[in-house]
Amino acid sequence: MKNIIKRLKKAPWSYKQPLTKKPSNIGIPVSDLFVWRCCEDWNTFFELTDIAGLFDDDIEIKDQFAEICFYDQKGSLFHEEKLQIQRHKKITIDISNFTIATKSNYGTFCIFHSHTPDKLTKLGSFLTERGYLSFTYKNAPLRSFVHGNLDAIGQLHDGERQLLGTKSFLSRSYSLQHQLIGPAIYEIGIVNPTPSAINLSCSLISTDNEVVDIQNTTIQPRGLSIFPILTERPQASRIVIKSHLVMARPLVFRIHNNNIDVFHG
Amino acid sequence: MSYYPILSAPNCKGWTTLCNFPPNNWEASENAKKYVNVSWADDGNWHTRNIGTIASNGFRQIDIEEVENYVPKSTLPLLSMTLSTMPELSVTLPESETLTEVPAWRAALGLSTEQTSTSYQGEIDPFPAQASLLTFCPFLQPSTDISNHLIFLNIEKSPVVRTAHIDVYNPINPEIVLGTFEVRNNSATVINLDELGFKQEDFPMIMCKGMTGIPVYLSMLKDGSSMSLEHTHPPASLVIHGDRRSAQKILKTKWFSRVTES
Repeated sequence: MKNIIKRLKKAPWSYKQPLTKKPSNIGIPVSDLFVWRCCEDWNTFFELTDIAGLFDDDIEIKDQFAEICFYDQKGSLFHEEKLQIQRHKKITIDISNFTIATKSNYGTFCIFHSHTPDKLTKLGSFLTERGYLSFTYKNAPLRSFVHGNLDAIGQLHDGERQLLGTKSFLSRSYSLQHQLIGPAIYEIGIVNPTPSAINLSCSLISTDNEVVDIQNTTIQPRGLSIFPILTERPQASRIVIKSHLVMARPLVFRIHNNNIDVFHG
Repeated sequence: MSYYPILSAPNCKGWTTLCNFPPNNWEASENAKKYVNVSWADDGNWHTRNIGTIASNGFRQIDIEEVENYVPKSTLPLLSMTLSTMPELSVTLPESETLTEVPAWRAALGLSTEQTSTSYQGEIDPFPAQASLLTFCPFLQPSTDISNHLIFLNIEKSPVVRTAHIDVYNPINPEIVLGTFEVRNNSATVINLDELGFKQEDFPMIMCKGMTGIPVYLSMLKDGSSMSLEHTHPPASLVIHGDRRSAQKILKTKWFSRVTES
């Protein structure tokens, strides 16, 4: 009985609201919507690897490629390109080489691998690029790594791209389980992997549980919002994100004395 | 049931910040004041000591100095938050109350030097003893000014010490073992990756046939002024939907057999 009640309570949050929809075509590649930041202070890198070849290296590597697609902060496509990949090696891609075509300083990108091994398709599975990107701040010699977060977008057989995020029926709160400690600048990045525009608020809450600040925005599909949070006070704080995203897990940038730490919630 | 380890690495101090509020508003969870405990495996038992409480909706940072007087250096301090007291001694890892599932209830697991700090959001659950590890490392930043380490985290229900070994390969030449390192259960084993001859374009493959765990990678400038900390996903994360467990098995079977044939 207890289990039934538990399931009934959970139903409004889970019925027809998966974190990631199943793509409309079988055997297509899937990718995260990775965050890129390229401007005077920031640069972004991606480690491109032959993830298909980890499962199946029978196909000729020269016939394989990765298609990289770039969107600006409003989710508009501004560049796409095919990249060669190398068998069992990694290529560190400097994202700033691709962002000259936009005036945006940040946005999202995705990577689709050309080859999905048959043995994965037979399992009903999709190869997904959820790999590793890194950031530098003010040309630092060390890159700060973070792994991908979502299975956000698929490339269908006809070349169309299908967003795989879903919108929640009810408003959801995501509380970042990280203590904001100043003095530091925090920048909270949220991506919209759904096909609908999403209204979102980011609240800064003190240890006395008082709302200190609220920032509101609307994020277009494939778009990115970055909320700056300045914690000059030593008082510990936390962040709550409210939206109709099924899971609004942010990418968090912490800047202190020109050093950065990057992680996701 | 999740625990929150305090990490360790050369020239760094570990710390963990617990939080006593759920990450979401859609799972029933309890954020009343909780006991904070540290557990560790030693002399064939799990030991647990209560180290105070954490307020409702509060944070609590525990540095390694707070526990190092009674947790042996060879073992991994595991923090937990519970509504009731935990047994001081047990022959199996105590059940820590399940808090949330999607996402899991996490803590900030961090490392600091005098100049900077880094962290990631994580938790650790006990792994089965009959398990293996296959992972590929994309984080190496080979440079004379940067040190690169793998921190292998493992906890199991049994406190009895056992060891296994991690082998490191270049997948282009899986017949050659580039390094072999002993790892222990219920520990954080730190492995220096800089002496294995990898270049920037290499994609190290890391295997352990006798144990599994969480591979966490730390890169830092040797002067301690900058750090990067992140973990890799398990191989099942390379696919979504369908039979992901079988997909992981395909990957492990392929690479373990290539190494065995060598």
